[in-house]
Amino acid sequence: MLEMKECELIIQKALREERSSLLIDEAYRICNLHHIPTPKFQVVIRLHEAVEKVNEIRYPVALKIISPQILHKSDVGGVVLNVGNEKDLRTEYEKLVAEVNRREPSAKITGVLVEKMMVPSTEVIVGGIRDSQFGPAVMFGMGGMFTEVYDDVAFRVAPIDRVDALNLIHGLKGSKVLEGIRGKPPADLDSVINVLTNVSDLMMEHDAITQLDLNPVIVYSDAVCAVDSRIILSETGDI
Amino acid sequence: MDLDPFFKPKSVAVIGASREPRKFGHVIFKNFVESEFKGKAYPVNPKAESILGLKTYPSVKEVPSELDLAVIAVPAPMVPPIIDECLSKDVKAAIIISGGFKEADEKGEELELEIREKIRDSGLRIIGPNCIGVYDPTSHIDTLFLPRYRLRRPKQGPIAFISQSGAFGSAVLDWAASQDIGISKFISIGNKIDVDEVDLLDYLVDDSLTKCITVYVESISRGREFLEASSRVAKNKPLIVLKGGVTNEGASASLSHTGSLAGSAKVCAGAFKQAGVVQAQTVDELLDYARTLAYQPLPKDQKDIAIVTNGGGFGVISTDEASGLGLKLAKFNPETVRTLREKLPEYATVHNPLDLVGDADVERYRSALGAVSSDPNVGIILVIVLLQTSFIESDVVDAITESQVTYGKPTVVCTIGGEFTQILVKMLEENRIPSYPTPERAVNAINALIQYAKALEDINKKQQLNERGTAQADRVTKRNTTCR
Repeated sequence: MLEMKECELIIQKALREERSSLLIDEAYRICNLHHIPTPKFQVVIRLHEAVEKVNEIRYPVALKIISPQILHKSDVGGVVLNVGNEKDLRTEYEKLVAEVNRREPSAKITGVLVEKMMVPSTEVIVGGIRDSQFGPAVMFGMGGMFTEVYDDVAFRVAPIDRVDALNLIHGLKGSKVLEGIRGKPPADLDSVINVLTNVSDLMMEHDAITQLDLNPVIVYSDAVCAVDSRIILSETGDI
Repeated sequence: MDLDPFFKPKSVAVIGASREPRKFGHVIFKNFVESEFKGKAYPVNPKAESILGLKTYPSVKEVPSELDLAVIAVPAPMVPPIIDECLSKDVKAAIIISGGFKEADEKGEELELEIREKIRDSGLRIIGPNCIGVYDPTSHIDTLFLPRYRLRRPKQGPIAFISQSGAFGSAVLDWAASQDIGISKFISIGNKIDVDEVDLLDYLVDDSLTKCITVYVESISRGREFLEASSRVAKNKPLIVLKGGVTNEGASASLSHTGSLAGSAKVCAGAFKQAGVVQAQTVDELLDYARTLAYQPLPKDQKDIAIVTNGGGFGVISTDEASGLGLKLAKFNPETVRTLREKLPEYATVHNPLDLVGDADVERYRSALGAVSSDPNVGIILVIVLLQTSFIESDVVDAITESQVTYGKPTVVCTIGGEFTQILVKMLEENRIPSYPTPERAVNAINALIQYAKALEDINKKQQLNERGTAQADRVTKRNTTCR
């Protein structure tokens, strides 16, 4: 399959460059190739290019720094959300690059990701790991407080089917949120299940991927969207 | 089956059989001589003429018959040459009781590798080393080196028990015997040089005497194969696992959020659920769950619980516990309510939990259980009987057993008390009605039963899904890849 071939090429390139994680655009691409929805995105290296490409994506957009040396983008001021017009884009773009340069002078900035800013909704976390005992596994958690404070996450061993995925979701204390509380419409569970089974396939197909985060995945009543993706190839190399 | 020689050997050699009453080899050989073991047992010891009046043989080779099983209780460094002898005599199975292997030091680890190398591609299967071996009350195989006055052997029953730890295993066996709980087979697997939990699950799934398998493990050597074997078991009989050595700590240095959240306990819990394994978190739970799952039928589609009690407080605590676990109490249908009103005194309120009040006698239990059991809204019955009142007699055991047998609904009892209660507890155990001293444990056991019933339903659902082909599911999967 062509899609798998392209995924492997992305991974091989990163390994050749001795990177232990994928760049955000590479991670998004791998998600898309595995039918996991992400925001529309473009990679640019100049401001005028960003201004141009926004026409395809449309405002509002988010800007994310791309650098092989930076894994935790927001920790170094490498993320700007909700850029609503060209004037703001021009100022925010320059500020973003300057800020990251100031805080991480040694990091090589290879580009800026311009992505569609998604409307807020319920957030969930989907992940993949390789367990020392059971091998590739899929994680699901409710976003925000549920994960941070209540540790409300659960795992299943890959490969998972739709029954496993549904049980995984329903096993969480916070999963009631997805049924639609406080007048919200119920979440598109079918699409959440798709993300889980697709992450399972992804972990099964690419041995080089040791960990994966889709954090958060925004869940709507008719769609889902992974608005950040982190893919770790090995724990040992430098980032 | 290739593991049969461990459980049904016709001839056994005890290597390291000793005249010293406190030596392991002595106790083990004595077990064979004094039990009803029908096969032949040969003591092997180059330094003795006879043990317990029976002629000893200087080596395995000298034993004048074919050997199904060799039980080896000699110091670790002496084991490899004995394995050689077993191989040349075509012994089918060996249990290495001896310690001093991987668990002791590097030298012991090397000995294990040496033995592993020797039996590769041979027909010889090995349990152990560093274990207490096998106890099978049907064939009377008993390699436990602990004397019977210290470790009573449980009677024959429906529960199989696999334990990685010998000490844990023997303590649980002794306790099970004291409670009149019967077991089908006990296997202590120790360092798992060859036979491990996966092999044993594959063997016990076909064992008709085993209705329920319990396992205590600390390390699972073949994780994915273990899960596959577990789902094969779960399709046929309940499997309850207590997994020691799990931690909730994720790898704090992990680069991903997922990695930092992934404690082995959580991955294990998920993997077990997926495979249909009922996970026990405590020693109590392991046997509590086993008794309900081995003795009682599974609930049908209807899984709501009816609580029948002669003590209001216990009814309330049970209700709280059930709701805490997300279990539902049945709503009695109008006919049941009518019958109960007729049969119960006016001062009893007719709802679930059904309080028969402190002066309830056996007849009141009998009519209440009849009414509740025939209610289609009731799937499972929890009977609480406090025997401290003088109104109630021991034939309440018959009333409970009869209603269980007549209506076929899973029934669990909660009763607590001193000597009088203990007699009834044993009668219930004899009738395979599980009873527990606290409402929490009783409700928890019911929860395990429901969990397993649901896991089975999922297994069937999956099978249907696979049979229908995943084509449809695939089509759904492959739609829009980017958000609009």
